[in-house]
Amino acid sequence: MAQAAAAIPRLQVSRLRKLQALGVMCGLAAGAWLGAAEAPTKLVRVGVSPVVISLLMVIGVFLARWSIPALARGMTQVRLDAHKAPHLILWAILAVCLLAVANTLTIFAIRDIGLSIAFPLWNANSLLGILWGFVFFHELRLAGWRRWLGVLGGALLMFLGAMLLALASSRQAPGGRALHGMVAALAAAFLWGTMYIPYRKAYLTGMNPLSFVAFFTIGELGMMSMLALRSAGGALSLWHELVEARAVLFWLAAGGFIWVIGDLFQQYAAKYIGISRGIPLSNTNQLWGLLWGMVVFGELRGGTAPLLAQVIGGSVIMAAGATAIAFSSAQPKEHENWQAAALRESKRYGTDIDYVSAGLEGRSATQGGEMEYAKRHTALDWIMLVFTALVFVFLFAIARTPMVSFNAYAAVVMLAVMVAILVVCGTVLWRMTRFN
Amino acid sequence: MTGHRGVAAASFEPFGKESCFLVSFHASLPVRCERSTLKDRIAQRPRVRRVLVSRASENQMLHANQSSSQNWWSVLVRDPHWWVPVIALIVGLVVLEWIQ
Repeated sequence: MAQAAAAIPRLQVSRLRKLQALGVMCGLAAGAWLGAAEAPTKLVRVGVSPVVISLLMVIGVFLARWSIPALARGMTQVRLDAHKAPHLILWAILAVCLLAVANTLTIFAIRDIGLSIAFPLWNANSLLGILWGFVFFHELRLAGWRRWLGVLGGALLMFLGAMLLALASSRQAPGGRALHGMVAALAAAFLWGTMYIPYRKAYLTGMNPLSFVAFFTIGELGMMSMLALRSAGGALSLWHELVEARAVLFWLAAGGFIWVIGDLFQQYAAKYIGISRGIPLSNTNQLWGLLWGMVVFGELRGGTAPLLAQVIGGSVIMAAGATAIAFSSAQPKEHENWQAAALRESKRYGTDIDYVSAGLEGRSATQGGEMEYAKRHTALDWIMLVFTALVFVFLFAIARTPMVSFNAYAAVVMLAVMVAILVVCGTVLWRMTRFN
Repeated sequence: MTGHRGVAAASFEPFGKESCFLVSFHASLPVRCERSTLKDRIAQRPRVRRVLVSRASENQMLHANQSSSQNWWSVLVRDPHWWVPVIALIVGLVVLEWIQ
């Protein structure tokens, strides 16, 4: 560790504190946007199969994963990042394959055991994230018992809160295939928790989150298409399902786009506070999903007192867990352990130590060098942005009006809150790291 | 950059006297600079104590770049973390097949 501290300059305490606060902010913003991604999908009430819904959302995800990096930094920088750490492309593909399979498993878990049991089960991914963070990336080492208590206790509190909220928000628990559903939910937790290994590996190597999410698309569409083909029973039947679902494509694609914004914040959280803290914080998406459901879609309206008590109690417990984690940020000693893990990755893959060091500090790898030159947006970036906009305009044109009644005023207020979170968190990210 | 392409062997203080690293100055320096300027500019970079500059041919430069970026494939399969996500993916696919 002393060697690592020597190889990678020790981060100034004030800078470390700022980056930790930024990571916490990103984790909470991730929760808000990941939760909001559920809203457009609630507008869809047609006989579209769960796997096809996933595939359609991936279209929005695909567009977002290219257009947002193009807008924020320009694709030239994504190419430079790929050149600096090409091995991470494979790690990204692996991560996104895990993501696609986990997302599909959750659909089956909800079908078989209901949201009330499935949600807390797959939220156990944060406990697995803490384990992998500790074992593989030196997180929480020399952190002291208070921080251990804060992170582990906070994660457990969130687990308990999630259980209460899920019980309250469940409509009914379908029966019949309980074992299948339980296994699916636990497998999803295993895959989601493990998916953060590539994330952390990338960010300890100095990778920019905007570049890393762009790498995802390589495997995402392929994996999801494969699963959808398998589920539909062939290309022709899948095509028929897609054509039939064209009227809801806009809402699902919008859900995918919103989800990517949340995922991006989650990536920044994983980068600056590690996976042991970042995952639990982004799991607050359940709170936001419930809030959207209650405020905009009138869910739980006319609920009994015990039900409302469950919602309030679960929310308070979950918020308390998130607060405990937010106040358990890494201290300089623990951060030196992160640096040791970063140095190990750098040596293993021959990544430029300056690049790694700059990534950990949240700055560009070179000042006035190739990265700076690459900050210019090229024609390709603008073409991608225009293309994305045109696709969404087209999907909107063929979209059907939502068949579910919702409170439009509340939806506007919630959207305004989301935009405010995006602007505030995005501005702080830009000022502190220039999106690095 | 058309002027001074090449690599510099620089000793980074934290690694000790014996350690030398190839430093690419391909794009981080002005296009036109004298060799002495080049040496000074590299020396000004953080943590560089001693700079041994030698003009290198374009081939050498290419080789230096490749050596740092193209060995990753062989390293990847020896990465001890590699097996965890792969096993998770296999488990996920098996479970998916089973519940369908």
